[in-house]
Amino acid sequence: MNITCSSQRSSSIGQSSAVKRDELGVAGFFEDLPVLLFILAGALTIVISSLSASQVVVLSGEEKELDHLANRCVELLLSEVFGDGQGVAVTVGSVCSTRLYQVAEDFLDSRCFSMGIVMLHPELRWLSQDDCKSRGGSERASAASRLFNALTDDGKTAILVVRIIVW
Amino acid sequence: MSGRSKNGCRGQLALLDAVVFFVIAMAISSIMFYYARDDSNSVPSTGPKGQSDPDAVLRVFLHASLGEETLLELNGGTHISARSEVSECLQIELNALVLGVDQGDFGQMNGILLAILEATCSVVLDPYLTAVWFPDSSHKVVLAIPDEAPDSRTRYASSTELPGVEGSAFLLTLVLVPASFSEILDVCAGDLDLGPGIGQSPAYFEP
Repeated sequence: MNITCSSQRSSSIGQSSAVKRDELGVAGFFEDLPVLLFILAGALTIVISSLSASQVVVLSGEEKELDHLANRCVELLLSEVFGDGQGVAVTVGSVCSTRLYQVAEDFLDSRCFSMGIVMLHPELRWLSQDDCKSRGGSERASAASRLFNALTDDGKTAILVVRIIVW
Repeated sequence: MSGRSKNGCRGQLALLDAVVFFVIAMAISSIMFYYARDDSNSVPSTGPKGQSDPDAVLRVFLHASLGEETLLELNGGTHISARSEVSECLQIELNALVLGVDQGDFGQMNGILLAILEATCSVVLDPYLTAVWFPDSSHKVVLAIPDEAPDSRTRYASSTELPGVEGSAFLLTLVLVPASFSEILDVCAGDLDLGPGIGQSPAYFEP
């Protein structure tokens, strides 16, 4: 009987010490949870912000590239209209007969664009409107326009605008 | 772990380290966001172009033809051809105004000039043309189309000189001011016929 009692006591002592160690372990784990959370949150903040910042930089780079393309293209169209001398008077007829769409298509390569020439004065009149064949969608687009004078058939000096949208 | 639970100070120190790390991470991410936004919002070096560029608008405006035959009440009636350049018409008007002719006598021509400017500049901008005369050391505003200057903080301006009487010169200034939203709606509704209700004042929709 004595032997039995002592063995029961020793096992109960062993169980209590094991529980005590477990309690210590659990307490330590929960104590470190705030530390872990702060570290995880900090790391996550850095990762998310760097990802979105790089995305913003990439998108703004695309926008700038589109802006640059549209502006260069519209300058090219004007130089095609006026030839070498910018001071030369051109006629509305010559503007319409110049194959500006071909020039823009060659310059912009595979990009989609829409190009239009409008007479603003002495009357509002669409002189030409050309769109690219493939109508691929895009989230980004850029536009550019330039004003210039041209002579009408009746000898008046008109105000024309050439516009281009690139996407 | 057990060591930390035994020594509370070390546990608090770890938490403090983590908080410091978190704050530094927040600061780094804020800096990254700021620079990314600053980069995306940076103003292009080229500036306004096309119909928003006051230089371009003023240049083509001065070289354009008036477009309509006009009769001025000067010296018993002066006929101005529709092919006359705007700069020539402006010189005639400014010289006459300096000599004391009333600006009301040029009402028709000023209306045409304003219409040309409004057609030329962007629909979101209102034009305002002024001419200042410098007879001696003083200056005098001799022409303003329209009469009242639009009130706005944001303005785009361009100026050029026109030769005047007796060797003097006129400083011609074109100011482009952002139009109000209701004006833009009016123009759009008028040009595109967007249907009833579009371009009207909010009171239109009230029962």
